[in-house]
Amino acid sequence: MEHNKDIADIQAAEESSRKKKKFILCYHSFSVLNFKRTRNQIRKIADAAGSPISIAVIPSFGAAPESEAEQFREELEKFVNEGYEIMLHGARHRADLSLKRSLQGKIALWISNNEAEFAGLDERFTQALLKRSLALWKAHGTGKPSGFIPPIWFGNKFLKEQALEIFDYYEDYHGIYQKVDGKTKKTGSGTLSFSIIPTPLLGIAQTYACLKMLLPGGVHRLVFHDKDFRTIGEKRILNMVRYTSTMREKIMYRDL
Amino acid sequence: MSDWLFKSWLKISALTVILFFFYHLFISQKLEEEHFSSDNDN
Repeated sequence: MEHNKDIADIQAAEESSRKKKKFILCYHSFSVLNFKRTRNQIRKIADAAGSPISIAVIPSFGAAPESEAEQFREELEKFVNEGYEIMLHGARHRADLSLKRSLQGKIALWISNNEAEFAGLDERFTQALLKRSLALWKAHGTGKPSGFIPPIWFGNKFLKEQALEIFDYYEDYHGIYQKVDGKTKKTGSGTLSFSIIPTPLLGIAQTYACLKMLLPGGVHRLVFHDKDFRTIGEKRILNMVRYTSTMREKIMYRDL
Repeated sequence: MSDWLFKSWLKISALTVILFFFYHLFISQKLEEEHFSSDNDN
């Protein structure tokens, strides 16, 4: 009996320690162009984690046929009804090269292969693009997204404040931001993403991610893209999710 | 003083690399398992 009590105490202590450390699990760039393939990936990740996850959605429909668009809307609605959390992930994700950008923005475009849609834009264009992103979501989505994630996490000096006027959460590479009593509160959070890491370094990046999750501190974000299922592989991704879930409690942005 | 600092930094860096390497071996093995299960799962 005493032995069983000791085991129960140890398990309770481990559970308490696990709950003190939290992480966010987010699937990025879910869109009308990839939803037929990625919806299954998202559900598999959620199964491995044991509960629904956050999904960063690209709201632009581009030239998708109406039948596909309708299926995508239904899929989004299903996810929302099942308790998945929606984050808005730019308008098109891909940058409009005709817009004027700062030097930093141009460098960000070069690094990101023109995917950093908001990088280096001025105040007016940032506002316009943010409104376009929300308008696209309203035209097709269900409910209000919890927050805004700029593509490749590259923003500009106006984006954070503008996004927080509309959404509850905004994030960049170093943290997650929210408005509390009129002030911007930052939650320290490392971004653990693999999509832009060269293939030979992916093993090291996965080890680094697991180590960062093991150590205390921060509400880190474990982020997966469609591409990761081809480069890292499904088995490793799901094992990484299971491994992380044993060390930290998975939460969503809205739980912050 | 600077010599002592440099040697300490060198030792800490080497130790970190060794520990990371062993953790890398461990985690690679874990991630390759058919179905990862923690030691707590019974």
